[in-house]
Amino acid sequence: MSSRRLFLRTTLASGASLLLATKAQAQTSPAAAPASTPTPASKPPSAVALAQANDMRRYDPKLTDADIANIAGQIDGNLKSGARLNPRGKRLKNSDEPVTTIHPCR
Amino acid sequence: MTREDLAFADCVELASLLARKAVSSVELTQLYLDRLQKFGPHYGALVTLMPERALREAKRADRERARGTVRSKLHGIPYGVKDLLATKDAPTTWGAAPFRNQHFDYDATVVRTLGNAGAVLIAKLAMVELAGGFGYNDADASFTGPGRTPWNRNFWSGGSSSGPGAAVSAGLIGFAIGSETDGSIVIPAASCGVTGLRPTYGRVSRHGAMALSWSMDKLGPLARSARDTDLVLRIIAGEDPNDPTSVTRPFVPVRSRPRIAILKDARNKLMPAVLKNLNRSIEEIATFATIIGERALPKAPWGAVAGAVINGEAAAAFQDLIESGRARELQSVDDRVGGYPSLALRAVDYINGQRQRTIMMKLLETAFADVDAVVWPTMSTVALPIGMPFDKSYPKYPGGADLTTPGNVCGWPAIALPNGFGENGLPTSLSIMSKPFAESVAVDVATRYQARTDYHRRRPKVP
Repeated sequence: MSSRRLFLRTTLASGASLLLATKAQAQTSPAAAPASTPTPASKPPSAVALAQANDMRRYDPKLTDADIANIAGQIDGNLKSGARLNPRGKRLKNSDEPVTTIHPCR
Repeated sequence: MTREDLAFADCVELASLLARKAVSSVELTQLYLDRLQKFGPHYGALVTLMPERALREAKRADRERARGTVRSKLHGIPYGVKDLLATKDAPTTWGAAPFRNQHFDYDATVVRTLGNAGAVLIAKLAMVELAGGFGYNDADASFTGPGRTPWNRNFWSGGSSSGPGAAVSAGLIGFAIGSETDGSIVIPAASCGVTGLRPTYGRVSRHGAMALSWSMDKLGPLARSARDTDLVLRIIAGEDPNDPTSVTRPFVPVRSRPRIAILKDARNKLMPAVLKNLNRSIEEIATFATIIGERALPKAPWGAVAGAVINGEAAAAFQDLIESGRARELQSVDDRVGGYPSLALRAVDYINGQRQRTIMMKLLETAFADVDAVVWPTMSTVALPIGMPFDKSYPKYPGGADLTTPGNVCGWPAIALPNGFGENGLPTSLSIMSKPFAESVAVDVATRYQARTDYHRRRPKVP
């Protein structure tokens, strides 16, 4: 797979590119990055995602059914994207540590 | 020199004029205040003008200069900041309606540092609401309206540092400070035909800046030349006790003939003018640098990592807003619901994103071990049209490989500079990425390129 296709695949699978139709879009991505890949319209959101999305009504009771479906789709997208970070728990080793900045004392 | 010439001069030229007393800081400040007030709204670039503070600082600068005190090369030069930097004398809105009356009782470290260097703060500039943290998909995503590029007001100024890009481009200000999490300095620079420098993560204190993603946010200058970005960066760089991630590092010396790579697959699916201008830029760079060929972006889930990290940190940073239900007041319909999915992000995915970053930093270091800098087109197209969803704007030109997200994920610096024009009279842009804390290398290449070309000196017709 070319790196271009790989890049597109990775970004499309991530939040970086809900909106990715142009490269500019991907790069504008404080906008783009946090967004999640929605579940394609043909595939309804999972029941778990829908339950989580419905739970968001406690923060905004005016969320419509369409909003809930949108949120649920993005939750599923985040899960799918998250799975790419460590497929089947095999890509990252136990010793792979996260980027952190901890200063016990300065 | 006409007032128009003065307005479009770069900081190096302004410093020289101030030193020769050809103009005073008060005159310069009044000129930019007038231009911002008159033209700023045309470009959706202005949030708050700060005439009282500006004239107070300008008078002080003139008084000090008369006494022989010159604090820095920016002494007396007016500038603006993206409205996510805290300032004492004006609201700090973060571009978002729910925060339009937000006030801080202190100045961000960058603002304080620039003040100590004698620069004159004159305005808070427009931005995409919450720096785009909730996933907007069109230009109308700020309570001040869409940002418009001065080259053609039917097109977006880019985001999220929309106001800084447009104000610098239209000669409304000497220079500006923007921020970038994943493209927010370089994209507005490209869309507005100015030079934008994203410093290495940690080079500049983030204290007083709105947090979108603590581990990815960077502050940097947008200006009318690469040499200006260098001037500003050297003043705002350095460790700050209020930002534990900030560090003081030397600026590395540059080679007389730097080794430059072209990003492999970066020429794919570009708008024709972007490709033509990229090729011409590489030919120009080859006159003073060694082009060592192509280097590929290492395979890794770059986008997935950026998404997990920014989503996770943005959800925490804006938890109060999301849980208050006031996201409904945001301008963009996408932003009104975009925070909720991030609240449900799994902790394990966020942490795995951060674990991947450790690996990615090594990958990038290895991939570009034998080069000083890498070039690619900042955008695959010219600026995006206003009034159309981004993903529908230029479907024919999705572009090839790019380093903006990988560079941001790994905290590497990059500069974006104008390298020609394309459709609808809009500028195109070249990006140059150098290694961590080697901003001077990217700036040097950009400065030498600008010494041989005049794209950065072209002016849009300001109404």
